[in-house]
Amino acid sequence: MSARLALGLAALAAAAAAPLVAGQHLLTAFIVALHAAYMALAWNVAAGYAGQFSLGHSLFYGIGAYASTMLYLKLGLTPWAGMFAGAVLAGLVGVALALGVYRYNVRGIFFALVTLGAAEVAKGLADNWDWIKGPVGILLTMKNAPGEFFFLRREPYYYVALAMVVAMILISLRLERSRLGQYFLAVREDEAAAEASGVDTHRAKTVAIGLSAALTAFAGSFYAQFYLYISPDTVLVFEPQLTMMLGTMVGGAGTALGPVLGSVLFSGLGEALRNLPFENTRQVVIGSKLVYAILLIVILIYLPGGLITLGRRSRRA
Amino acid sequence: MARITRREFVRSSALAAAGTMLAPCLAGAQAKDVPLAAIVALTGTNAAWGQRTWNAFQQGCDMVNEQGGIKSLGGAKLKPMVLDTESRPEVAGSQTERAVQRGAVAITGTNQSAATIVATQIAEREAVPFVCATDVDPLITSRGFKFTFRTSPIVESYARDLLAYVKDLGASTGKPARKLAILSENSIVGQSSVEATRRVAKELGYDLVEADTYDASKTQNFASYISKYKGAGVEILIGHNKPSDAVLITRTMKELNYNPMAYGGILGGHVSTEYVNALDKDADHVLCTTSWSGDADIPGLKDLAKKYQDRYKEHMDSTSAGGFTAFAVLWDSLERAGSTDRKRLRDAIAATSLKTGEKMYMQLRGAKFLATGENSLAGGLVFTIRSKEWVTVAPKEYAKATAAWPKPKWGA
Repeated sequence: MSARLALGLAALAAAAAAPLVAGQHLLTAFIVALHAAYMALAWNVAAGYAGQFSLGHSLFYGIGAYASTMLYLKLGLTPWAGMFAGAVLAGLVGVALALGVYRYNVRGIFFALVTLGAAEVAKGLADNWDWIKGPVGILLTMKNAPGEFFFLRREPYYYVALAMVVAMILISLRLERSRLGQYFLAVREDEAAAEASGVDTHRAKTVAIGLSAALTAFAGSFYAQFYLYISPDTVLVFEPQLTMMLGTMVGGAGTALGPVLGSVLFSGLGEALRNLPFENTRQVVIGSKLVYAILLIVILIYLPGGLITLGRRSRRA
Repeated sequence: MARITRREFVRSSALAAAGTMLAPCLAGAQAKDVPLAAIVALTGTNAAWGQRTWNAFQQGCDMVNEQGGIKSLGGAKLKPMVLDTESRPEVAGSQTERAVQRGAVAITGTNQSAATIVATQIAEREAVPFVCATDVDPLITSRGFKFTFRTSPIVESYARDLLAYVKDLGASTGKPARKLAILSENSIVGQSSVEATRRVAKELGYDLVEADTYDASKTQNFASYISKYKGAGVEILIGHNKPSDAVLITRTMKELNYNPMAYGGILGGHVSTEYVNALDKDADHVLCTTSWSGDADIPGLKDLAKKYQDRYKEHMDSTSAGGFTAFAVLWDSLERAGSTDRKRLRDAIAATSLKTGEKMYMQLRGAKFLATGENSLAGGLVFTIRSKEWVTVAPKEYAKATAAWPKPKWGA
């Protein structure tokens, strides 16, 4: 067994044992960190590996949240299955968006702006769509029904989030070693060279967006089941997109562990700054946000490849 | 250096040990502090409201502590804590858990309906009483929760107060208005205000010709809406808007010389200091609603408002009145429960019977909770603005004046 595998298994064992020692509040903080890590990993598939810097992933996140919720409320379909339906739907929307965008050879910053626009349009539609209750949003009942993905305690949510992150890491590692993953990397590094080498770049980019969109939708469904309330203002805003980008860019884009590292660090830091041992006045809150922002800037300036490059640097040294 | 003898060492050690053992017993004889939490926005879009709620809540706790604490708990002191929601529902949920972990026996918050929906779920799960005083969305009390209580009326009640008053004005002057339009932001409360207005308009016999919502974060120009209402001959325009939007809408009405017979707001921006300061005379004769007024005859209000102003260097407003109100319910219930057990406190809150003015309860017209947690006595006030002041015009028992009817034209 390699040292890396042993380290991974030890980390997994420690993570699996966390609920035994953590209280409900700490467990929520862990769930929030895992959820952020999962989102970052899902966005990383398109932005990190394939270099498709989407700013509209909140759209796919929102589709996941609304699809599993509406299927449950209208058809009684358990969200365990509904989240897969949401993923398929988000994947199809992602593919359709990519086909349209790449058809007109939209790249780089313009691609980012188009995806941002798509998410804005989706929010506008959701705000005015009575069937999904517009801006009022949808409430889910708080109950204990494991078969329907409802729990009163935090532990089951924690294990679901942990399983999602582990699965997403395995998918990322598998992708890195696959032919498709190599196509993604080739597109990211030099699209013209990749095309000259025989890579169907349009297809690779479309698959990257579709796959990333489908994976992102699971995070949206998880949000709905965990917070039991969704509205365009909570799932179709820029906030989830920001979480995905922060974790990925801070941890290291285009790697399987960087987004996890970045998300966990920033979620943990945010949580620690909310937990300062003195009176939580407005000045303290604003001060702690400043510290958060300064740290982010420092990391981005001195570690442009993300925290994951720290390990590589120390190995080189 | 003076040497210590063995006898002295044994004696002092024994004294120290006895002191160590006795100290917890002596401390135990004193009443324990009672932690109360305010989960409000100190940062983000709702920060101004959150800060005012916290100001009032904190002041309430300090005043009770100065008067000797909670008497039924042997003079136990209140220990208020504030936790920032960052104006985000997810953070409100996690902060509620933190408050529970820190031992809060009851919670108030959050001035943001979406955040309150998430926070009250946690409070219900952890069996901690949650009293909200300013959130008006009906969803909050629609879930059959046992630990969630609301003192203020819901948004529909405010819409009814406003439109009923306008109807009375029309009837008493022989100049009735029928054509109604609503223009609200697309927040959870804004959308609820539109739905509520539909129902109330039907009930009161109005003709609702337009019902629009707009995205508050993106809309800077209201000319298209106002032109439409002017063209359609809308006689009454109402809405739930943020202060900056309410200012822009009013200015646009003036610019386009649109003169409805009545213009008013359902809660929100029209009762904010920002609104009257930004518009000065242009805010005159605008109607608005809340569940509190600085000019209402509420026992103890003047003294409390002065103390608030002295401490925070700003006027007490309806949001800070909400903070005092939530605090009053918790203070009264703690005295009656004589216990910090959360379930007993919840039962005491459910049995609340408070009059306005009693124990710093500032909202009208007292509190008596239904099984749903809704306040059966809750009621609102209608105001007209005159020279940057809100003057109560309805209900009759609190009225200080009658609103101008129809609203004077711009420049009149």
